[in-house]
Amino acid sequence: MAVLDIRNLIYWYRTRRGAVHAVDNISFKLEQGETIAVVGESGCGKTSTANAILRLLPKNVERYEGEIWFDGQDIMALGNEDFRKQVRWKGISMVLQGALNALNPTVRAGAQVAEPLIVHYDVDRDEAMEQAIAAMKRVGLPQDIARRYPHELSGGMKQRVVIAMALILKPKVVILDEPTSALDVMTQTNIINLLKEMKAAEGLSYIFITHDLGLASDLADHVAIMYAGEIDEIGPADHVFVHPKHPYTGRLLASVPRLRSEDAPEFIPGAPPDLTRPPPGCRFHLRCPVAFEKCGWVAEEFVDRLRLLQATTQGKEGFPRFSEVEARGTQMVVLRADSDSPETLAASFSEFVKSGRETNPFLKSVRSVDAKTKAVAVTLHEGAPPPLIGEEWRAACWLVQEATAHDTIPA
Amino acid sequence: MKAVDDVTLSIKRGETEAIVGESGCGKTTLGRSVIRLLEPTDGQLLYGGQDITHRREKELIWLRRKAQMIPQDPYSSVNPAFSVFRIIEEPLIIHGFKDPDERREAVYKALENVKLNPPEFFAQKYPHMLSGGQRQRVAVARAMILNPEFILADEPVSMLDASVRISILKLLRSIQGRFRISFLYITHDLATAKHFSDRIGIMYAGKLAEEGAVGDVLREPLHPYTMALMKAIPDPDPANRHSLREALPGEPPNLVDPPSGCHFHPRCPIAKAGLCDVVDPEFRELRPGHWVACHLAQ
Amino acid sequence: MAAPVPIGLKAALLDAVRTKSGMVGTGMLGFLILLAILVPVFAPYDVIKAWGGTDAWQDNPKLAAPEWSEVFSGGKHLPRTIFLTPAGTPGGFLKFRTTENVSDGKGNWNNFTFLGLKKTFGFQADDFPSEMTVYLNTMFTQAGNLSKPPAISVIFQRPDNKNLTLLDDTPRLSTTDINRFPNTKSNAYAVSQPIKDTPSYKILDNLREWLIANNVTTRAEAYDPQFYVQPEVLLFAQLDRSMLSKSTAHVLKGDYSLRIELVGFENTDDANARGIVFGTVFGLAGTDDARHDLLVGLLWGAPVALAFGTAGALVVVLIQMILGAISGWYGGAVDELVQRAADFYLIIPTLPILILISLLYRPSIVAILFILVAFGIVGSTTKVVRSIVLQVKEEQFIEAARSYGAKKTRILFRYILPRVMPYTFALIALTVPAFIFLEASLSFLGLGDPVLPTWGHTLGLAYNNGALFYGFWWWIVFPVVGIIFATIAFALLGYAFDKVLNPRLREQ
Repeated sequence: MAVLDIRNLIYWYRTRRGAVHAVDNISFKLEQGETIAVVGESGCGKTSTANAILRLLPKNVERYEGEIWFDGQDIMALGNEDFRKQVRWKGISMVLQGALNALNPTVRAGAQVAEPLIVHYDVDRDEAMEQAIAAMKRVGLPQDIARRYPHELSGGMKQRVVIAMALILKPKVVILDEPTSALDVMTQTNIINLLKEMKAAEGLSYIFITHDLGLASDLADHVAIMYAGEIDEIGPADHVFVHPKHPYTGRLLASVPRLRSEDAPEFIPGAPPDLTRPPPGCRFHLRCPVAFEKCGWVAEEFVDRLRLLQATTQGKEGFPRFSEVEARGTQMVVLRADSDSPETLAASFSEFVKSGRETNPFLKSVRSVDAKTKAVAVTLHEGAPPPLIGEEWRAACWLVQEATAHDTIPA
Repeated sequence: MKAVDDVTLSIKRGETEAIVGESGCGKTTLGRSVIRLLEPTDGQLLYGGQDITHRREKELIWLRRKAQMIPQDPYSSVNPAFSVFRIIEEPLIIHGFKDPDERREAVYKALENVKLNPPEFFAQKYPHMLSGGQRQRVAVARAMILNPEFILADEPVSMLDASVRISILKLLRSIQGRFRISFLYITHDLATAKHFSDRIGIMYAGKLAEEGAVGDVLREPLHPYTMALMKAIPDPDPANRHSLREALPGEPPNLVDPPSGCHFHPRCPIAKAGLCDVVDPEFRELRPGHWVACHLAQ
Repeated sequence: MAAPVPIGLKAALLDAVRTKSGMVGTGMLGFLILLAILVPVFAPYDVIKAWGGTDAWQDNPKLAAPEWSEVFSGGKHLPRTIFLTPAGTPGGFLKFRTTENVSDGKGNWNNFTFLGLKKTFGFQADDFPSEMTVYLNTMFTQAGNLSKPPAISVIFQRPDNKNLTLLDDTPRLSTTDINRFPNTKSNAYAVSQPIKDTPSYKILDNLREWLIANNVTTRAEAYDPQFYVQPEVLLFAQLDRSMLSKSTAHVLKGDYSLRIELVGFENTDDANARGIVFGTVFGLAGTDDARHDLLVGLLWGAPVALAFGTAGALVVVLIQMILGAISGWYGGAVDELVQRAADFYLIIPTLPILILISLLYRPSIVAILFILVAFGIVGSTTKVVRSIVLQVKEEQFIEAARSYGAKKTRILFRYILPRVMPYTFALIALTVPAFIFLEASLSFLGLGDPVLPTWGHTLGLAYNNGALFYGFWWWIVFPVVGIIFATIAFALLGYAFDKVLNPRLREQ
């Protein structure tokens, strides 16, 4: 049975510009003794996912719903006080991003490790210190470190102190939020090795949040690729790293500069979308090289793209000569020309769409081009968000068919 | 503190030299010294044959035009109070380009060169309206505006997302090809150094451990530190999780009081007592164009 | 996700004003500024120039509470000031005058003037007036030793017809007036407190006799030194023994008249009269012991405090900012010099020195400002700005600027100071209250500008006159409210700035 089962978790928060859809309906399971890596670019909602699981929420929460099954109960249903007592740190703990810089500079390392014990179990100081020293031993820190202050410790040691703090209450699940991002390569490797050893020895389950696919592969049994608040692809590491199904996963893997391969890294053009207004359809379609009709293009995006193309390819041969372009509703774009008649413009635009489809995927969304009396009406295909399909290995992309979802898992 | 200790390095025109090392190894200090933002205590700095080691700021105006830098942090690399146009125009004003039309043209050209299209659109923006990658592009455009020969890029992409990182490095590479600029690329990331530079220098505790053409150094690393560094960095591969990764124990030394002999010997897996902890290894050309500072390298 | 720290003065201003405290602070400051603009229109500076004198204020009641405080008097109708205007003005005294030539039988003709002035007024209040004054102008012949002053009687008529003669008198002359003809002499007869050369003892004696005649008191009691005559109570009280004490006396409501009769010995003699029955409440802010309308002083306090506070804070903070920036940016010996100077200035006891200077020279408000600026060339702002500059200095675009050859002065003035400006604005807003307080403190001690009725000045006078002890709350409350209002307005603005610029103070 899964130790943690997250179903349809939603977590939005309000900002001045609107609600940020930080975590938008994600589900995944974590088995005992396994690690799931949550990977994505910054701002994709991976840290928000961690905060949502541990209910570390700011005041400006807009939506916070879903089910989180842990230890046979839905911990979303618990009251805040019960959650704090039963779940946070005791059941699920966390190594926060940059936590090594958040250690209290005036408290000795040992006392900081012991703090959760005192808070949760009200044990006396001596016993708490004893247990703290034991926990510090588990993460490879010698006893005398307990008496030192944080500024006397190196980055690697501090990170071990933070990990000892997360482990002191013997939680079943540890969320690791970029646990090595502030560390040097060598220290980072040492920490990852430590986490690996602890996982093997103690059957810990990790949720490993990182932007680094290389690091993710060092620890992950399962991988969830997040993009714009959603999971695009989730499955066993052996499959996802090797034969990614989702174009985003593929591009992300291709963007990693590798030490052991001569393949030049390739970047993903464009930037992740604004999560206060996530794009309709597949959220990746604006950057996707293989996006097509169904991916959810809307008129506004189409107009933006067309204008950008017009600005960058000014006056080039074959570019249709329109003077005005505007969105009408979500699926219609209207073009006007100064000199050409609507019929000529419609013809040249159709030609342009046909020849430019491959280099500019947004042109694939054109369903019809009709010449009206004064303007040209371009109708776009209706799209929809792709469902996350598959059993153990799932991907949310219209190019991944239900029938092929199972076939592609190599034996 | 000996932040940089006895480093010898030469960078050719149109070449990218990567300096790779952990934080505190002195790579940033080295970079600052090279373009004379810091004055070295000892040694010699030659730029195009001219000695710039101890020149006063007034005598370095020509260098300030030929050598530029791209800082690390996209949140502070460009002046947040200036518009993009003003940021890029500033070096031109300082170097006495009087004609505003000429300046505007140059700024727009630079924006086009760094692929901030259309330039008119980006020129009027302020840094806080831009993404981290776009800000670094502005920093690149600013470094490009005076047609420099040499650019110091100090961890220009370390704070950016992986994909954006690649796009900026590709941009720098293409600019280098077009304008024959020399880059000193300072980074902690061996993998990007591999893909985006010609030569590579591995720094450890204020000294160069190894230096050579990228292919040579990474195919046949001669220094045990380089070998350890290469082993410590994972490529995305699901097989990684089944084994522990080889890593050096301990931490880099404190440069106020560095270890005797080879700075690396306390962590070195092959160090020889009586030699490595006593004698400072010479930085020698073991293979043609491939230098190393290790007694035991062969 | 917290919004980014705004860059530049304009953005910071806009952001600060949008916060709650910023909005309230701006509103309050706006009100003060509006006041500062409108006050000189409604109460021109001339009024303030006359503040030190008594002439402009003598028609106001003394130490009167604000009119609206009647609300708290338990339904009592408190007396307003009643003006008995001279004959010849609408509603003024009625005047009858005849002249007559009478022979003394020896062939001498005497020219007599008989003159009567009468004014009836209703008194319906539930409390006694605070004072009553009658001004009498008489015109009579005065030549050499031949002095023929007229005989005057002032008669007070009560609704119960128990009338009494307040005064039988012949106006005296001062020597300087002797040779003037026709001579005009004004005598003020204050029925309660003396204002000028008033033969008030005569009035008091007349009151005693009146009490005796009406069997309120015995002669022995009336002339006992312990016997306290309160004319303003006796004149307006119901006639019985309870009238002897203000606390037991009952107001006699109804129509009163003041009658003045004159017999002159030339047919050119003439007279006119004016009277004031002072109330116990006045205007919106009451009056002080010198009969000043406190509202005028209070309103004038706003522009003075605003101008003094902002001018002082602006100059001091800007000087300190520039020195602090120079100190932080150039470092080395300059830094050392500025910082040690700042340390020195910080330990100088400014207030005692200021008190000393004020005692010796009684400086004007502008001079005080200059002294304060002189004592604030370096100080805490220098240190704050230096620390901000040390931070900005580390920003990488500064290093990049050095790499493309920007000179140090250019970096300081074009790159660093604009970054510091919003913080400086916050510091100015937070410093203004300090200056307002300082001015108030000096004025309170009686060492401020001797002419301007600043809030501190008013407060100091109130304190020295025991306003707190006697319960003249309005004399204290309003200037205090003024100081607090102005202080809070700026403090809120400063706080709003701080909140915008200091991410740690920001709410999610």
